[in-house]
Amino acid sequence: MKKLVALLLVAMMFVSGTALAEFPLTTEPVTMTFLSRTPAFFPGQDFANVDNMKAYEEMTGIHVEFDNYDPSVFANTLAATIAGGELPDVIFRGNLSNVQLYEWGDQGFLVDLTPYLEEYAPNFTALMEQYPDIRMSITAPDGAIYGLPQAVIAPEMRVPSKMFINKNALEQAGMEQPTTLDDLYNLLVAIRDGDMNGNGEADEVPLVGTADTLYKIIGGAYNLRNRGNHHNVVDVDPETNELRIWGIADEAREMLVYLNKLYSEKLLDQELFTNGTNNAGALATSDALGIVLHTTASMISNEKINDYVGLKKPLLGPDGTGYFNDVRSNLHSTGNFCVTTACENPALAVQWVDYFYGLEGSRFMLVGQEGIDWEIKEDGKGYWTDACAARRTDDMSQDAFISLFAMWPGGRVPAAFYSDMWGGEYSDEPAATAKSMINYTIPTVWPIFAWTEEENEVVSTVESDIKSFINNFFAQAVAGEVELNDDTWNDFVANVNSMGADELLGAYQTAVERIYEGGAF
Amino acid sequence: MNWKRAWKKSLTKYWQLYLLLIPVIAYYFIFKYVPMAGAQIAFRNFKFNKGIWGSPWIGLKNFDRFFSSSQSFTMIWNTLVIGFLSIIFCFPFPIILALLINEIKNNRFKNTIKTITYAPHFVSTIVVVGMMMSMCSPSTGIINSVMVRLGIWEEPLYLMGRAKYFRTMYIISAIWKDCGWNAIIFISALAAIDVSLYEAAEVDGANRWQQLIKITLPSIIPTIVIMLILESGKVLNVGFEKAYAMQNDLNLSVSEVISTYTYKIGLEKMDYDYATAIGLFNSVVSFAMLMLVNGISKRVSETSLF
Repeated sequence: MKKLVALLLVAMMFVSGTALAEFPLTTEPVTMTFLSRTPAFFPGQDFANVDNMKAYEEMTGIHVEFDNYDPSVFANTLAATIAGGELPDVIFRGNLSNVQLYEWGDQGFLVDLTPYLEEYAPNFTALMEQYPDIRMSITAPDGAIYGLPQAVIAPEMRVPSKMFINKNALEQAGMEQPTTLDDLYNLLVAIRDGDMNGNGEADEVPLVGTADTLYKIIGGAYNLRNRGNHHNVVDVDPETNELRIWGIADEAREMLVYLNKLYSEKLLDQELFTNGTNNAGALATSDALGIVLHTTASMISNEKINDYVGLKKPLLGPDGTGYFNDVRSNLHSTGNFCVTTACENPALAVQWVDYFYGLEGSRFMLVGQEGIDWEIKEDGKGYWTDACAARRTDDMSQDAFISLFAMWPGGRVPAAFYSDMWGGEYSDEPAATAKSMINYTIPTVWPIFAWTEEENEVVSTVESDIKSFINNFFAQAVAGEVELNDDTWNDFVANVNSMGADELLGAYQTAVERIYEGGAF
Repeated sequence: MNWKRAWKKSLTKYWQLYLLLIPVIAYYFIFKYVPMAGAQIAFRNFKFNKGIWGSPWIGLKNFDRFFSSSQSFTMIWNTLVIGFLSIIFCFPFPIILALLINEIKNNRFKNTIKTITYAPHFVSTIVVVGMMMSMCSPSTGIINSVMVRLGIWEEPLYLMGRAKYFRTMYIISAIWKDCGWNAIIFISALAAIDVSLYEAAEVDGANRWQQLIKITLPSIIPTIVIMLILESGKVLNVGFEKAYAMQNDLNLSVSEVISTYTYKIGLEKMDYDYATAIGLFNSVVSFAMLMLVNGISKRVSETSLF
């Protein structure tokens, strides 16, 4: 048996030929500087102290000098460094937008990686071939690739907005899962009026979440926001197949009427707009939480988490259809690994990062070293090793714990997320929910667009202005501060149109025509 | 040529003092005046590789973009409203507090009151907003539960959420935070009043109220006017931190001020030249305002900054 495995391994090596990087990558000592952005929750983290980065130095022979900055100062530091002309070799986990990438690439600060990828990044090249939207998203208008992204292959990572429902509430309402908006309404009423935790007080909060997630989940029933997670303002009118601003579509008005009904009947958290999910953990502890909208429901304690079940199929709207609209392309974020023109050996930097886009390297990067930090047990699932788990003190969050030996926490990692990991989005219920949701998502997901400079000038201000304006109106309509009638609605639509809606749609039109080469979008 | 001679004489006589002045002048020159050169990117299409001096000129395009944007009017209006409300409501309180404290005769009590009232100044703005969030929450906040139980409010108010309460909450918290601190300058002005004036008034039979109106207030009028002029220059400089922390989707129509918008454009979108243009507009208007109030005050009360 052992021989067979060894033989297979040898065979595999032959098949993949030179494609797999051979460690060490260099025999001469090489030092590279990485200007890095550390996770928001972990001020002052030094990537040089993370176990897997130390191990990787030994594996590759490349010594990395990490220059770490918190997100709050990262953007400024980066701008100052670039303006000052003292470039690092690599910008690491910086999450630079396509606009920045193109601007700085075009100005000669960043290296176009396309010539290196084919030869030195077999893993990443294979990914791009398998998932063309990755290439679409990261290719600048001039055809160059100035930064490598965080890719998400696993369904678990592709549908962030989920609805977690209290099983007791479902039982009380006599429901398996809500399937329509009316079902949801009835369920919420049952939570409000029933005494779920049996303490004799009406302290149950039917639905907790951020307003934005609420619009995403309910919007799917109205076919709004139907081009996915990366585009907040513009989508495609399903009837005319033309670009539109979904916030001013008639269906959006219907959605607001529905949500306003929920809010005014106290079926939504009355502090939705200031609290988001802040109170969800405490409410869950006292069994007073009906529904929470979140990616992982991580704020609910381990004791209570099994009381919650994810919404597996989308809610159906008035016309009997519904989708999950908050779905990512195979990309989480752009610009997480950029090589600057100061780097003497870009090929080596590309080799350094490519490992993380393969399955093995991805785990090495995200959850640490196999056998040391984690192991696959007989049930086929991954677990922290005993020695590793022992490092977690009581006051340590999951993120802080993983940060000791791996780079997942904080995300924006130059790596691909594959299936069959553990923790976070891969925990039992979130993972089961995501795997079901992925079958009911909208048919077309736009990648992150690579804007030209002219398009960007419009998009960067007009889109965010319109977005704030729409959010403000939506909030007022939901909370009943503005009464929804023909006058207020037409006023709102006219206002949005006067804010440069045509320009914005024009910019999207040229962008989708370029990216889809005139085909259907 | 007279001033030249006087200048020379003064320089030789007090050269040590002038020597001490050099670091201060250097500080203002290096840290306040040199960076002003960077404001020129408001008129340029800023590119990192060309730098502040090499980026191409685009004239007033950024200003045009700002004033033709649908948001600019709302933003300027919001900023002005908060600015003026701050002057109207936040300005008198420190004066009243200073007068009250001044009437306290027991020194220990006086110092305790002073310390208690100015301590909130040292609480960070973000913490203040956090405290407001939890104290004003309709479901768990103490303010709502007290007011509802006393029957003053029929049902809990969404104080930190709804747009109509935003300005009230902004002003009240500003008074709480800075009233004591701003009173310090008036307290010291009061301490400088000649005691013999009060003694003479007492001999003439003036009571405490008359003393306050006829002696105390007129004596600190110059300080009040100077402070008012300085405040008027800040009308457009509504503090970014607090407005940003208090912002939410529901109150955005009144809470979006120039400084928060500049932050979003400049730091979140990294559109540096546009953000600089908005900031520059803000500063120019503030400066004009300061000059205007200063000029009026010079004519009316003969007190002015310069």
